[in-house]
Amino acid sequence: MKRKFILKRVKVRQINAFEQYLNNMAKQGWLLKKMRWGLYFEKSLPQDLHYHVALDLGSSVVDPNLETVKSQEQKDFLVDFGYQYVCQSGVFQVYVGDDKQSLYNDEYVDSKALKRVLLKEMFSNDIYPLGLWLLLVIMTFLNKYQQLMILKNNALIFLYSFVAIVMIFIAGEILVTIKLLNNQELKLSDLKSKFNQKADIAVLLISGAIAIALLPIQLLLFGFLLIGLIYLGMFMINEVERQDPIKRFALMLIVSSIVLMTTALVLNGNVFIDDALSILIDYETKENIDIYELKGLDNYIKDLIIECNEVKDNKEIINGIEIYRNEDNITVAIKNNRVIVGELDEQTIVKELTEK
Amino acid sequence: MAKQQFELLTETMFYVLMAFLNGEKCGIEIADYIAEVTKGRVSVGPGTLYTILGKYEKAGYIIETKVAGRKRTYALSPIGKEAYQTEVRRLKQVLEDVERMG
Repeated sequence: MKRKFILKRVKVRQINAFEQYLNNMAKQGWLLKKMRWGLYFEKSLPQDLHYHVALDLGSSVVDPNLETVKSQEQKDFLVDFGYQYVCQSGVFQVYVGDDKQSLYNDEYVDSKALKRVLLKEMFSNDIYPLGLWLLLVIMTFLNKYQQLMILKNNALIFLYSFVAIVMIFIAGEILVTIKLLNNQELKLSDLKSKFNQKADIAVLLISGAIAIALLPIQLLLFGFLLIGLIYLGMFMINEVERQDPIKRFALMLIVSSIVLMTTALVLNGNVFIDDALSILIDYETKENIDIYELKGLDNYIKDLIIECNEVKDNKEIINGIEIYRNEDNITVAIKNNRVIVGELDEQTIVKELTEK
Repeated sequence: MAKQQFELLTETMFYVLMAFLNGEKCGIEIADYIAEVTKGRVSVGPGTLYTILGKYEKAGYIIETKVAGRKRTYALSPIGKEAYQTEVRRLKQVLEDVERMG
């Protein structure tokens, strides 16, 4: 059975265009089977179908894939009317009907329902993720996670720019929804937003290309591992349990714990940090002397090297060179962007740091 | 005139209340009743009907009397009957005003 996956999120304001899109796909022989982080189609004979998207007032704001009791009641109600249930995701339930007649035909009643659904969607799709991104940005400024920020300037700029663009995009979505909500006489027929399946893929490809060009391979692999774990976890939860909120919450806790433990293991792993440092700050060993050419966040890396060698309390300055020693005769000597570490005498220090 | 729970009863909402006058009904029966009584002039979309029934149940206008598999049956409550009769009096007043003023 041929299948197709379209990476595309559907928003409430696109439902009219989405219905038309599904009808067109059916005419080409592609029938929608499920919606989960995208659209899943199965190949069939071309058919002239009438898809209808119902607004699910009973959907959960916190857990969009939970099949609530109210969602099930609406499904039973519409199936009783002869509609064929296809799938559900978030605030949508998709059906196939015998004709084009709309599910909704009272503008006053439907306007209120529409606004409630728009609000639900705004909280679960926009405000909640925006909060998570903000939390991520705040966490990067905490000392504990500073090691993640030992990056070349351009990679750091990319990461922060990417996060900023995502947050601006989400803020834009929120503003569009607020504008719709402020329309006193909002009707379903007012929802004229187009449905473009290619837009999300283009954004993903461009972001991926820039990330591969700028980020160290270890961070990329770690990022893929995290995304893969989260996606696999959510996939398994939705396959195992969609109707019991307590079981779903317990499964999400387990998945979150696995993701956090993996993150902690990787971040605390000396191999990861040492490799990251060696790539990002040009590091070599010469005759038992470790030599660092610093780039990017130089002051932070200098402090890190001093701290790693436990020399910070013992400092002197000779010929503009900062020299730190410890009781085990390990010396860290710094001048401009060059740092040398080892059992160093003054002659070696001056030779390495003043002749370069 | 503002209603007890609703500022406005649309035509569809009014006919849904009317549908319960001669007994309890499920969703399809309500839709068929409205189409028959209005001779096809008023049709109620299933999505709209579901929303209206949810609002009426929350407001206490109707109560669920039976659940048989997928089918849920509702009946009019005394509050719902009062809301219906209030709307009928209002509509009659409107008609009298029209007939008097032309």
